[in-house]
Amino acid sequence: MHQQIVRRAGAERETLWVLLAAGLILATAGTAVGLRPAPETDAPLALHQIDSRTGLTAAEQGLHADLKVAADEIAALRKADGRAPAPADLAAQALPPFAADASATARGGHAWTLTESGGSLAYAGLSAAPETAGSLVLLLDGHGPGIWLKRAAEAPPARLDEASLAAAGWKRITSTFTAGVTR
Amino acid sequence: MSARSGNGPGILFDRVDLTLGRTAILERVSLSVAPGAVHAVVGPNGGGKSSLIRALLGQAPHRGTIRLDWPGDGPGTVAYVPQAVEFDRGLPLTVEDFLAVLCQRRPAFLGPDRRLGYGEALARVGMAGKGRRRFGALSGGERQRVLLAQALIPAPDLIILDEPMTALDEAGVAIFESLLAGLTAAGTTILWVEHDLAQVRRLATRVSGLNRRVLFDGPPADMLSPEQVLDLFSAVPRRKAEAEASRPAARRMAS
Repeated sequence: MHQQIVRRAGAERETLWVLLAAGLILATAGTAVGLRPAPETDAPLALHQIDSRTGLTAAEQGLHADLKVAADEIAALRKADGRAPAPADLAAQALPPFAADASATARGGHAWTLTESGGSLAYAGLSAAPETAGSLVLLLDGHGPGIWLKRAAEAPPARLDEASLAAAGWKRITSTFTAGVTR
Repeated sequence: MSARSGNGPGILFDRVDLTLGRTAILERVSLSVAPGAVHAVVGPNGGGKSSLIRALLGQAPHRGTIRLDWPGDGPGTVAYVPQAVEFDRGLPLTVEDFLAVLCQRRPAFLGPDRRLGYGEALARVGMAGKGRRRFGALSGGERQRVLLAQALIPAPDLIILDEPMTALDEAGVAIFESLLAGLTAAGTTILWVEHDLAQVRRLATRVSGLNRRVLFDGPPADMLSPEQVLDLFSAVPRRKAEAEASRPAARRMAS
């Protein structure tokens, strides 16, 4: 004897299955997210580095941005003229931060000098107001521009390469990409 | 497929309620259909006969218990003959195609499954040789016979008939009677909704009067007396009104 109960028509069973499926998907997704967190991309900065977003004052950030643009300009001028442009030439072209204008004064009134050694160029800017913006060096060697900072009215060492700068307490400005970057 | 002969189930309706919207269609319907019986259900239009069948087929949100007691280890074959079939007469569909759509597991566009014996079933309803006719070109009586034929494939253990004789012609009625006799001999349980009381009296082994509730249930010879039938088909059944004088009659009148 087999007893068969006729079930009432309705969506209860289907609803239950849909809810179960939704729960299963959520649980699977939750487990996957929990088991596979995004790896920490935050590489700690070396001692001779400083972060461009968090480590700089407002004036330094402006100078840093301007120097990055100027580095391209200098490379182009160097290619066209066959020699490195002097800071005075760059100032004559009103190229920030070399131009002696009101914003340059407000950002620490840097005095720029050019040092050429071998294939590399170094534009050193001696700050008149280290509390507003430290002294800066734009180092142009074969590996692209490097911008170095020291919060003192101090001329860079005679030998302008990365090791000497780092040894003299200068810090290279680096840009890091972390989860906090929104732009 | 199921084992044949004597495998008809018993059916138990235990306090079945059905309310659609705010209209009560069935109220506390308790019925029991014996295995192998020809059980007729009669009643006025709107009395809930077709709804009772829909509930039995699991197509209505009923409350209460509907139970099928199968004699074997598992459920057998249930066949259903609807009152009519909604059908576009212009469809290029033959009688065999129509049976194939309803009866076989193999997709109908691959053609009718010869093993199922459509020809034999059509012969049993007097439609032998008409398997290739266009279904839309059949007369109403012939279409009703095809609906009967589809219920015979595979051989049913329980057959549910919803006013099968409405569209049948005289020859069809004779065929229906012989079919009923054959099914009864095979032990098939037959639940038969019918409004032709003379036929019920002649062919059924038991009859239930249904007008939202079960008004009577018993052998047709005893139950289908003129008084009972008048009761069944009157708007407010007299006997019920007397029995339930305490209940407000307005509720029944309102719906």
